Amino acid sequence: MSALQIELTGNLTAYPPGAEITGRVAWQLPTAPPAIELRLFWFTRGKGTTDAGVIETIRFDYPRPADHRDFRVRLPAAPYSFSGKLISLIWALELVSLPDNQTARAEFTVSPTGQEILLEGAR
Amino acid sequence: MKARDNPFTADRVLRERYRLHDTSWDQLLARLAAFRYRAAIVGPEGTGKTTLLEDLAPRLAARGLRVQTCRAPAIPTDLTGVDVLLVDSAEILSWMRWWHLRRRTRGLIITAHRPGRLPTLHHCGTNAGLLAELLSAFIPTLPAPQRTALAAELHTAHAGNIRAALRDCYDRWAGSPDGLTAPASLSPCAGVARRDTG
Repeated sequence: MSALQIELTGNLTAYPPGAEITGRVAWQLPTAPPAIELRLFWFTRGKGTTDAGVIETIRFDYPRPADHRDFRVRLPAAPYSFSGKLISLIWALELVSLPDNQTARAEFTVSPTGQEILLEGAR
Repeated sequence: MKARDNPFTADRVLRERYRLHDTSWDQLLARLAAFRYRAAIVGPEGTGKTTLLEDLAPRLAARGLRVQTCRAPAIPTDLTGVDVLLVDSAEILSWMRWWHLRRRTRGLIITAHRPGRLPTLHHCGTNAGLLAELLSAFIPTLPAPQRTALAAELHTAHAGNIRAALRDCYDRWAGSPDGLTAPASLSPCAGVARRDTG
């Protein structure tokens, strides 16, 4: 197992806006970190500067070096996952051990159709 | 191609760090110490001055120096406890602000397009070979001859500005149907056609 791991219930890769995401996070570290955070966020990737928005953070204080926790977070109504030629908006959960910032990330789609919205030109 | 799949996204470009070719970090830091940490990184636009300045900061901190970075004209007012101030684009400061900055700082490392304000620590330059080396990190699957030709074309077209060349690559790959196929604009014929119709 890698040092940090995120498992989404049912191994889902797409959720409708407003949906609840459940799963389990696990970590196996050489020493106990001061804290581990699970962050629900979106970010942009493309030609321009990256933008990001953190929706929810769950903090696990003084965890054991190897442990696991179940989690439950709720998506907002927007923004949807989308891609064009110049910019993509990507949703993700990220598990971060503090303060050394080791991370694991699970990316997924947020859309009413289950597919990311494709802007003109990216089809 | 979707933006998320483009190999030349801004975040990917920013992850690329400065590549020293004609010197080593130890030599550069020794030279900087000889200059009493008052020196300039000089070079034209898009040649890596800011990246080199960013890469210097942790190396100076590792030597026990208290470092602060900023970008002109936003110079911190309180420099208490700062051993070395790293100022990007210092040449945009007025003569008066520059004079004050020099007096207020112990260590001062700046980036500038032209030499003169402080002794030159390093001159940032580029060539087609460096660009080809960078391209191999972004698009390792592109065959070497194509990569070399692309680097030569882009280096000339953008007058050595690597940042502009990589943005150009973003646009070219954005026109590619997927991340595996080189864009049609890489073909020599396409280049000729563009020039003919331009």
